[in-house]
Amino acid sequence: MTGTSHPLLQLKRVSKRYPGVLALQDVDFDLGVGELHVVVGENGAGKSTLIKSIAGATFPDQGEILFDGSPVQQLSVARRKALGIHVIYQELSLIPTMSVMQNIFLGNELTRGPGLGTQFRVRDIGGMRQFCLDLLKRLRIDIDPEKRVADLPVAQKQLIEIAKAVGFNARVIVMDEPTTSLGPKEKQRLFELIDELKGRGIGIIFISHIVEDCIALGDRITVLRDGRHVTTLDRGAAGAAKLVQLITGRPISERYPEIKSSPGKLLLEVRNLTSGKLFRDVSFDLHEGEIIGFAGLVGSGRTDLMRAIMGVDPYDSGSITIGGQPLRRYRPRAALQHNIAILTEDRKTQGVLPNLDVMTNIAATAMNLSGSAVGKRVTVGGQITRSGAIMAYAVERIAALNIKAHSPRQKIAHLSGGNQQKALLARALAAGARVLILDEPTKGIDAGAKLEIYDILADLVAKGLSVIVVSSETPEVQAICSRILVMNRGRIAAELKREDASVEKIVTYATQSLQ
Amino acid sequence: MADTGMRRQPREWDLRAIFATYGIAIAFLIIFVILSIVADNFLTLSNLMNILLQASNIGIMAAGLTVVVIAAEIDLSVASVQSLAAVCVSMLLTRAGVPIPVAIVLTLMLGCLLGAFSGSLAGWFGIPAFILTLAVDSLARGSALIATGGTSVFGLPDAYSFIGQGRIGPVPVAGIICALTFLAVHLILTRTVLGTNIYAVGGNKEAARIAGVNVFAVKLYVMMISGFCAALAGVVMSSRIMGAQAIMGVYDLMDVIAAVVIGGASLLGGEGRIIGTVIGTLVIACMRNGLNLLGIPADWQLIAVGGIIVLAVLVDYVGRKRVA
Repeated sequence: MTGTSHPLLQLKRVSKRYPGVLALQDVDFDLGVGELHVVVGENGAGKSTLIKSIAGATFPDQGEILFDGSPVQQLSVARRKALGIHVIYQELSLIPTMSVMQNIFLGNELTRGPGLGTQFRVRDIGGMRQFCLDLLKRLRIDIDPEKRVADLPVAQKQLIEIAKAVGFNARVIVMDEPTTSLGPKEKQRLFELIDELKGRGIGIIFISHIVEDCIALGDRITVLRDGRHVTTLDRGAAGAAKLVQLITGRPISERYPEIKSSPGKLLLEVRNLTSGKLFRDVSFDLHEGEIIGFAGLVGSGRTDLMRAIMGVDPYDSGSITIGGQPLRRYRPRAALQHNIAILTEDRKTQGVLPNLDVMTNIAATAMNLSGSAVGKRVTVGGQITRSGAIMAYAVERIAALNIKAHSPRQKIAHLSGGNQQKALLARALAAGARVLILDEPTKGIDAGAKLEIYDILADLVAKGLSVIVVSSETPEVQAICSRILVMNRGRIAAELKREDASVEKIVTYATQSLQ
Repeated sequence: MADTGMRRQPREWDLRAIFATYGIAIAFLIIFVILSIVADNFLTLSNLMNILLQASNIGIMAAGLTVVVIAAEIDLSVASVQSLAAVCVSMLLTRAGVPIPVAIVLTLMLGCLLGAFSGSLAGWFGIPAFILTLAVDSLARGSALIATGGTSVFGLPDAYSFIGQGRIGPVPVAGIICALTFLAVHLILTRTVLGTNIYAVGGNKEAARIAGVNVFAVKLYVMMISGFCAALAGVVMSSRIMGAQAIMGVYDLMDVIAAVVIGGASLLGGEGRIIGTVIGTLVIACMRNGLNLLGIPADWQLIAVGGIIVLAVLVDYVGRKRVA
């Protein structure tokens, strides 16, 4: 389709071994000029190693990497960048305290006149501003170059990373999970930009968990599994079901199982909750044994609302009552004491206690709630820890939730995303949670672990637990939740029953402008 | 090719792991052996007991500081709080004529109070304890100077000397107090909910808060523990020299931080064990003692301690990078 004599980038029989794992085994891969080549696979399939090998962050043990026909496998990250190979990692590498312009030029500042060495030179601020304005205009990105990156939403940060790559003559751009934290509209904007880049002849390697995006975008799709190349499909060669089957290596009849709600007594009442510009006048109810969903764009206030309910962030006005009792503001401990627990969107920075082991992570909340059943079991009077009891409890829960860890004493930071998430779920349950708030519960988790988490949720809901799911994966919310509240610019735009909801409807409510 | 790679890799890794775990202990043994050889009188029972005595107040303060460092804070006021406590207990005994136990308890409470001051501000407003304790350092040293008028306090009751000069068999009482402090702090860190919370807050404050840890209480308690330990060190010191001066122990902060850092507690928080600090304290004490025996002047000892801190931090950071 992209007919040039040789591909822009080509990997030939690349292998990489880490102690104990064969991360890549004889993988072939190629990318044409102006082509978008999707790479999919579960966690551990070898996607990260593939990216790193292309970027130069790791060196394969065997095989060849050709860029424009010449071998680059020995070159450093900086040398490959200079050739035009850019990688945009999932954890963006922008410096939040610096402006958009400073970030774009970081390490490549334009300078004027003579100077001492490479550091003591006069920065050409005017020149950089002009370059920046031109670049952003060319890519039709509407962002003020003087703005601090910290003040921008994630979606815009991503656009800046792309602009940065394009500004420095990228010919290959690798995007690692670029759509995970984007809402439908932002995604659309990104896809437009991607089309533009393709038009300029830039080859794009697109890594994603989101099967719909892969199918919509990919000129070709390469599937990796267990470090091996499974197949490369041309556009339209496989539907979602088939692709998922190729990714997981086993047939999955249902990607999103329906979770049955059987609403009982009213448990949580949120009334007229307002917090500055983040969300306004939000009211909703949650019953025992019910699982409800919050859909909407990133930045529509879903996460802020959940953090306010949990007491992580303060709010201005309104009320939250649980089981008829009012909940104190700005006290996660108070929410936990009232059996509300949250699994935050950002597992790494706001979830796991990274320096502690799995068993302590599981017991961490319970041991701080001396009134809870597990708290009584693992401590003496809420003060002295009983390590034997913590170990015994952790062993039980690790088995019950099928958490894959070498030992309860393994550091949680060494577990995969899905297993960390299950451990955090275990922590919330140990704390006696009756209301579980899950913000993007399956973000960055592979298809197999996702299903396990849905199973656990189904089981909990059947036992009378109440669950709130916030998700940008619209089909997920639509399938697992019995009611869906769609947020739009800080307000609840619609409340839909599962029967009445469809992905199209949700997206419409999430994106329409209100009055 | 693949075979040799396979064989070599685990061995390298094992060496690193061993070094990461026992590096401090190995370094201590090396220093100990070298000093035993080059310095006469180093390896005698009386000198070793002497080292224990000299190490005691540094060790007591280091025990407290370890807790603070694990919680990802730092206490720069320990040396001055030690001096203020020494002045306080001495003046209570000589000028106010308070009974010894009462004077000691009041002094320890003063230490806790100063710690609570930094800790509550750090916990409530999220101000780094670094800057608060720098202020408390100045406040404490200033108060000690004003209280004494810049002179020495003498004439403490004879019975008071038991703490700093007394011995049980050959073992100095001060050394036993130091050991008990280490033990108490070790138990707090390993056996209590507070201990787990200290590691949790040090590793990731925000995640700990969301997990239901009372971050304010953790900051308050760690600073109070450190203040308590510094005051206890002040009591031991005033008893050892049977008097107090506002400017004594001005360089002790260096030794205390060195002991904690050599002991492997990460200044980034979340990592550290008391056994490490025990060894770190012994390294510093042996160094000081050995350098004294070798007749190296105090000015040059400062250079040596500075060098050792750099070395310890370097080993820690380089080692961690490799293992990770």
